[in-house]
Amino acid sequence: MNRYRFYRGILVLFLVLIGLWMIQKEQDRRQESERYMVSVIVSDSNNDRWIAMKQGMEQAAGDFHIDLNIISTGPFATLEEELEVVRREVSNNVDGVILQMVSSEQAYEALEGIFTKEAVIFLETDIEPEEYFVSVVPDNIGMGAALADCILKDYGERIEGKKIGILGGNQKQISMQQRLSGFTKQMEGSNAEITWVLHSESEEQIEKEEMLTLVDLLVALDNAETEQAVDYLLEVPQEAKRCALYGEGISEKVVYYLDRGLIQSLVVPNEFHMGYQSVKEMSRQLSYSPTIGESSQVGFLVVDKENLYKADNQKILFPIVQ
Amino acid sequence: MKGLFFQREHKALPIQLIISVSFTIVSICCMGILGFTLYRFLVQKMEDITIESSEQILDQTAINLETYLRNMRRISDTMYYSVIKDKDLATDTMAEEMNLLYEANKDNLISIACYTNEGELVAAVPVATEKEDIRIVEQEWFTDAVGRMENFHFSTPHVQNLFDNTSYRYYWVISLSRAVELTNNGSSRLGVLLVDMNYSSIEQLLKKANVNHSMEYVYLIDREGEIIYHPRQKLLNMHLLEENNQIAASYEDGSHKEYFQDEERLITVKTVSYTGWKIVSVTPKRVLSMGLTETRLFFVILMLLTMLMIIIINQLVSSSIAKPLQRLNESVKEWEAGNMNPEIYVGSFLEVEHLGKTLRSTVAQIRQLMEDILIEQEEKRKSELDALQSQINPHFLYNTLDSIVWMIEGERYDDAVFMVTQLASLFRVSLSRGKTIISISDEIRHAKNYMNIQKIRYKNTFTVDFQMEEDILKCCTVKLIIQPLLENAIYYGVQGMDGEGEIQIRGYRSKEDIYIEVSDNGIGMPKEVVCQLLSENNHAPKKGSGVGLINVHNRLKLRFGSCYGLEIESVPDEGTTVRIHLPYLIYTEEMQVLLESGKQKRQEEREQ
Repeated sequence: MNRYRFYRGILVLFLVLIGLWMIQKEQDRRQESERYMVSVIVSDSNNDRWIAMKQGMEQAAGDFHIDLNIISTGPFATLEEELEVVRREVSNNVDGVILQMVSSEQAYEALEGIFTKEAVIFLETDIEPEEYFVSVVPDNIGMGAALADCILKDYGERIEGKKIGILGGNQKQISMQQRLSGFTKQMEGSNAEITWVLHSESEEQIEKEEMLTLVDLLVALDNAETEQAVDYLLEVPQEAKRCALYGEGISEKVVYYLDRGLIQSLVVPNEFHMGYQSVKEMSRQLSYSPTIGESSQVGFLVVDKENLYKADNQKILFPIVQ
Repeated sequence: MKGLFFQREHKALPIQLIISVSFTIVSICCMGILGFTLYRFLVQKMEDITIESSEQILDQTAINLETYLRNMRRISDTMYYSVIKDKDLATDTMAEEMNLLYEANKDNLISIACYTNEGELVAAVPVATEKEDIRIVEQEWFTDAVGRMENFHFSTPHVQNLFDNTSYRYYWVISLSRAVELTNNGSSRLGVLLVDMNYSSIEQLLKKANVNHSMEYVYLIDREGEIIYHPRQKLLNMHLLEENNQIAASYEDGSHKEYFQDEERLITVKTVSYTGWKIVSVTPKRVLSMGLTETRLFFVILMLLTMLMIIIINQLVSSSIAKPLQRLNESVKEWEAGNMNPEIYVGSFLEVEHLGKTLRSTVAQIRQLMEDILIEQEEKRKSELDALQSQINPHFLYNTLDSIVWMIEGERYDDAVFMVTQLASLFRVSLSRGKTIISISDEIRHAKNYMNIQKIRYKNTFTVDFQMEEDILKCCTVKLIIQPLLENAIYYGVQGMDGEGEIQIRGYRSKEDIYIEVSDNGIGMPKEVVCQLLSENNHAPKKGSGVGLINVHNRLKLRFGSCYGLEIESVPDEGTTVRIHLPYLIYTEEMQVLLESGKQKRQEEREQ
């Protein structure tokens, strides 16, 4: 009799264990189906220049089961304008934010009060102090230096005495500072003269015609500046034949004008990789620990009219299948 | 240690355990083999289904792709055979027909263009400005067409680099090029017809095959293994991912297994006709495993539950088989324990019933035999007792009558009368209506009668003193046990003494025992003589009839058990005490009958 009671006990225990196991499996399944919500805040998010990055992000979001929300924004004029959008997204209970800061200065203090438990990854540019946050950025110093190398390669000995104008973009961003420093450092000893450096936030305005007449070479350090330089050259066609443009960018417009020969060389950051890597890193942080992360750097491409249609370059320069 | 092992090895195990364990092992083995076979069958079946499903998807995709490519070839054929061949470039224009063809297929087309063999544009739709400084003759589609003129040539996807598009649009195309014969002023010259297919149409076709979000996917490669479409093409382009496309190009159509990046994958390949492109379906093995995880767990649980049920059922079955045998065994054990009338189990199975009945009959036979032996022994014992008693009577009678004769001869008639009276009383006790068990009071009376006779015979040369506790007089004794002791006391103790002999008879109770001591102050015996007195082969010198202590001792033992009988203490020149040891049993008729039948003695022996 006792023996049968014992077996009955084992049977009941077994059934209870199966029940517990099934409950556990159900919980695991729910947990697996739970998706993290991540917002992406970049300046002027509808600009063509973000196309490749968005593709990278969307690919990673699919791979790592993340609900991605790329916030529609215009160009941020001030840090406060951007912070307002950040606050709004944090109040929507997102799990993480991927952020391209319009200014690297004073960003840390401002963001400290906004983020509590959310994971944060900085895109394209670091903020100060760099070690406190995780960032995915291009090799900005390398890109600046690559632009200088293109000029030095094209001009060789003829560079001596050439005047260079630099459209330095938003120098409140560390990335732009790095590009500028990378360029100027590389140009040291070349006997070329940097006639002017124009920052986008600078209040000093120079007439386009005047600007172009002053220089032989125009260097634009980001996509917006390159597009702006293209516009300058198109507006003053007589100067365009004399003034060579070297720029950084990825938008269809800058690629088109590279194809047309208006831009001599273009440095193109691998923004698909940057977007993919940022979401991948975000997924890692959300899944394991929001406090531990590793900043990473993505590469870039130097293209000119000759190698624009090379198979490898095509794949990066023309992300969209029309 | 070896011995212990040997013992363990040969230790008999309960039948239920053997049956249960054997059944369980066999059942579990069978279940295990069955489960494993079923599981393998299921895995194989799932693999077959996956392959079949992949092949279906590939077939469907290949059909769609072939249809699309056939349409493109038809466009090219129509353009060539219906337009270009009919036109003389010097006088005719093909723009209208070309435009009609383009309009009819513009969803799938980016452009149609015709070039001379020097790369000069003849006609193109949609109308667009040709790029400056463009080197048509160096473009791959052109060199392919000119290089092998008899064929259609499908390029890998590339960005079209022919026309200027001021809206900054660049198109990914797959170029279908062929060499054509152009007529100019009646003379023919070589040209190239280019149909740029919209890559997005092919992409859409392949995307349909990749709607499943699991890890299975389909990609498209050309005959050299260059990727035309891959669901994660961007990652491949960025070298963030790798694909085994170069090896896949060498696979024949059908299913293959491959190891790529430490992962086993199931590859299904289907070649698209004419182009030599291959559609490759990839199913990582772990996808099958993931699908099987639930099934595997279900199988394990089912197996465990079944095993548990089997164990329980085995217990019940083995119990029902072993129970009758165990009950039969219990009956045998009860019999072994001494119950001569055990309840032998008979029932359940035919074999057990037969065994039970046989055992029951055997037990009954043995019991009968034992009873017969007991009766036989009892008879034997009775006959021995009778023989012993019959040894006393003639002996005593001879002595007494000798005394009476002696008195009558000496004219001591009163003494003779007294003696005859005492003798009569003595015989009355002796006879006791045939009983061998009498009360101690009768035995004492008998002893007194005897001593009275002997005192007369021995002219009062000794004194006799009876000191009996009242309590013991009503107890049982074997008759004629004191008289031989008294006789010995006289013959071997006080007869021939210089002084007056003293014989003392003392009876008392000690717990559940009775002791009757016959003591004399006679010559006594050495220790070695005392030791021989109660042995069967004693050679002690005998006076009188030669029967005495050993006779009494045997009778007591026969009647009451081996712990009863005589004890002798003797010191030379001081005297002898012979102690009778009896159980304290109140004399009643039932007890007398019981003792007579010998049951009392057997009971006591059993208790010991």
